[in-house]
Amino acid sequence: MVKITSRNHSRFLSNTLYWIDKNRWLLLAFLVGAIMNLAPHPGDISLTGWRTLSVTAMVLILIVSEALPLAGVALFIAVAQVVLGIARSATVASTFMSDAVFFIMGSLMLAAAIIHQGLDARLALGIIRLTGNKTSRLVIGLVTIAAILSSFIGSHTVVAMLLPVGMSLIRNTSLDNKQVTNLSALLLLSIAYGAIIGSVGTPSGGARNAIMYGYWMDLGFHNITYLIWMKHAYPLILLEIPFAIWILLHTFKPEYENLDSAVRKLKVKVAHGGVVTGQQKLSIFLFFLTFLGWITLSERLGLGIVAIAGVLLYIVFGLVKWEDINRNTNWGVILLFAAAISLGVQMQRTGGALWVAQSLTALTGDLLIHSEPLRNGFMMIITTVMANTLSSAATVAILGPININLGGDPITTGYITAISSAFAYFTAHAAPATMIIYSSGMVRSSHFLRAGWRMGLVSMALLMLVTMVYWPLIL
Amino acid sequence: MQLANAFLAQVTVAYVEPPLASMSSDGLNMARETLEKWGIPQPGVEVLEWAYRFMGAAGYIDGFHQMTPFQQNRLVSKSQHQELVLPSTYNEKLRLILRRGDIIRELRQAVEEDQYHVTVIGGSGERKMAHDLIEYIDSSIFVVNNFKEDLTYKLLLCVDDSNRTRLAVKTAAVVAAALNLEVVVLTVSKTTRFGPGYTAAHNWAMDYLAQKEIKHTGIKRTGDPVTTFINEQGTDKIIVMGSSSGSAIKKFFRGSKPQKTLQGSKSPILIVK
Repeated sequence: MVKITSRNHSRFLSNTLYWIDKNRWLLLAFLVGAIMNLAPHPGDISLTGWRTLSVTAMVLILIVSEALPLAGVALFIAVAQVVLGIARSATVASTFMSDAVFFIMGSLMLAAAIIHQGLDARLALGIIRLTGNKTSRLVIGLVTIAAILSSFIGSHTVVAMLLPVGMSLIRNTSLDNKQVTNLSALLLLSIAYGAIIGSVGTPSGGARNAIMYGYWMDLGFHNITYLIWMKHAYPLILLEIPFAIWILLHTFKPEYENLDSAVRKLKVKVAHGGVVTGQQKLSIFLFFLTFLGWITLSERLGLGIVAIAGVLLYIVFGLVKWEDINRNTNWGVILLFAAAISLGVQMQRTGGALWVAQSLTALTGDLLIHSEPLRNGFMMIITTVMANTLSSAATVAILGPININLGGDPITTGYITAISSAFAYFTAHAAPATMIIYSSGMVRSSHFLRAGWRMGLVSMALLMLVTMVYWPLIL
Repeated sequence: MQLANAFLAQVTVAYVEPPLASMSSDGLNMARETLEKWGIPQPGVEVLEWAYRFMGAAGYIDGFHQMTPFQQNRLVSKSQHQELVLPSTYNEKLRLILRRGDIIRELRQAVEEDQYHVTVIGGSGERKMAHDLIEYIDSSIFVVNNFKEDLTYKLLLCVDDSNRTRLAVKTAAVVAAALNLEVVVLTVSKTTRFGPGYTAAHNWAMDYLAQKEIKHTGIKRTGDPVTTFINEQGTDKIIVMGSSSGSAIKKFFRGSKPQKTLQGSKSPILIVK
C-alpha cells in the first residue's frame, strides 16, 4: 500500500513537472501580465493604455511560443480587454468584426475555392511552355509567375499550387534528395520567395495588407483603394523580381543546368489534365470579376464585401462546396486576425501605441522625429526582424499602430510596415509561403538563412528607394 | 524488431514530423491536398515505406513477398495521428503511423494511447532530451546510438540497489535468451567498499542469469558510476539499466544516473521501467 502511494505521488510529481515544462511559455505570459498589471504604471501613460500594452506583451509571447492554439489567443484578447477594463464588451465585439476581417475571411475562402478548381496542372504546363528545360529559365518562370499570381490570390494559395510542380521537377531529376540539395533549394525557394515578393502588391496579397488597411479605415483614411495600393506597391515587385532571381541562382548553384528529362516527365504527367474545362474557365472569370469589384466597387462596398461576394458566386455557380471551403479555411487564424485588429485599435485609442512610439523616439534622441529616411529605415529593420521571428501578419497587427505613431505620414508608414513585414525570408516559420515549402522536407532551415539575408537587405534597399524617389511623385 | 521478437511484441513505427506553425495550417492543408492529387507522398510516408520494406526483406513480416504492393496514399486519419493501411490485414504485428508535433509530447501521447512497453528512438546527447525521454514517456526507452547491424553485441547490465534493478535484470535475461547474447553484470561503487545493498543486488543478478542459463560474467568496479558505465560499454555492448526511482524534482534539476549515462553514451542503451 505504501509503495503504491509513493509511486502515485511520484507519478503526480512527474506529470506536474511535465505540465509546467510544456506550458512554461503560457506561465511566462501570465507572469508578465501579472507583473505589468500589479506594478504601478508609468505616469505618462493612462491605466487603460498600460493594460492594453500588458495584453499585447502576453499575446506576443503566446503567438511566438504557440503556447495556446491561435483561436485560444484570439479568445484571450477578447476576454482580457473586457476583464481588464480596456473596453466594454460591445466595443470589443464591434472592433472584432470590420471590413478588414471580412476581407481576410473572403480572401482565404476565395483561395480555398481556387485551389479546388485543379488549376495547378494547367499552371505547370503554362510555366514549362514559357520557360523550356533550362534550370535558370525555370527559376525565372517560377519567381515571376509566383509573384504575379500571389499579388492577387495570396502567397499561400500560389505556393500550394506550385509546390507539386517544383517537387515533381526535383523528384523527376533524382529520388535521392541529397544528390540535388541545391536544385531543391533553388526551385522551391523560387516559388516561396516569388510568392512573398508578390504578396505586397495588392491588399488581397496577404492578411497583413488587410490588417493595415483596417487600421487606416479606423483612423478615417477611407480613400485608400485597391488600385491606389497597387500603384504604390507594384513597382517594388517588378524591381525585386530580377534581384531575387539573381540572388537565388548565385546562392544555390544547381547540380543540373538542364532538366530535360524531368520536364519531359512533368509534361507527360500534366498533359493528362487535358484542355481547360468550362468549370475552370468560369472559375477564372469569377475571380476576374471579383478583382474588378475590388478595383471599381471597393470605395462604395468595401473590399471585404466584394471578397465575400466573390465567394458567394463560387458557391452559387456550384464551383465549390461549402465543405471544401470549410476544410481549407483556418477559422482560428481569421479569429486571431480579428482579435489582433481589435487589440491594435485599442492600442491606438488608449494611447498605448503612442507611448511605445514616444519611448522609442526618446531612446534615439528624437532622431526618428527629425529624419524621415532614418525613421523609415528604422521601421523597415524593426518590422523585418519582428516578421522573421514572430509572423508577418502578427507583426503588422502589433507594430502597425506603433509605427503609425512614430511620426510622418500615416499612409507612408502604413505601407512601409505592411510591405517590410513581408520580408520574412530568413526563417521557415515566419510566413505561410516559407512554412509550406519547409514542410515538404526538401529544404533545410539553413537554406532560408543563406539566401534570406541577401533577399532581406536588397528588399529593404529597394523599398527605401521606392519610398524616397517614387512615392513622393505619386502622393 | 529483434527486440520485439524477443518479447513476441507488436511493433509500431512512428514518424514524428516536427511541429509546423499553426498560422500556416490552411496553406499546408491545401498544399497537402494538391500534392496528394499529384501522387507525391507527404513527408514521412517514404520513411515508413522504407521501414516496411526493410523489415519485410529481413524476414520480420510473415508472407511479405506474397503481399500486394505498398500503397503510399492509403493513409487513414485517426484522432491524434494518421495510419498507413498495410497491404495485408494479417500483418497485425506491424503498424505504421504518422504524427505531427513536439516529439516528446507525441511519443508520450502514443504510449498513453496504445500502452507500448518499449519506445525505440535514435540517439540524442542533449541533456533536456535525455531527461524528457526517461521522465515523461511512460515506457522503457531503447536509444539506438550508432547501432551496428553486423555486430554481435553483449549486454552490459548495470546493477545497483535501486528499485528497478531487478526489472532490468529480468528484461536483460529475456533479451539475452531470445537473441543468444552474452551478459556482463557491472556494479560500480563510488567508494572502495561495496555495501550490502550493492553486493546483494550484484549476487542476485548473477544467480538469476545462472538460473536462466544465460552466459554471463560479473565485474565490480569503483569510481564514478556514469563514467565507468560508459567506459565499460565501449562500442560493442548495449547498456541495460533500470530507470531512477528518485524524486522527480531532483531529477529535473540535477539529473539521474540513467539520464547522465544516456547523455554520455555513444552506443545503444536500454532504460527499463
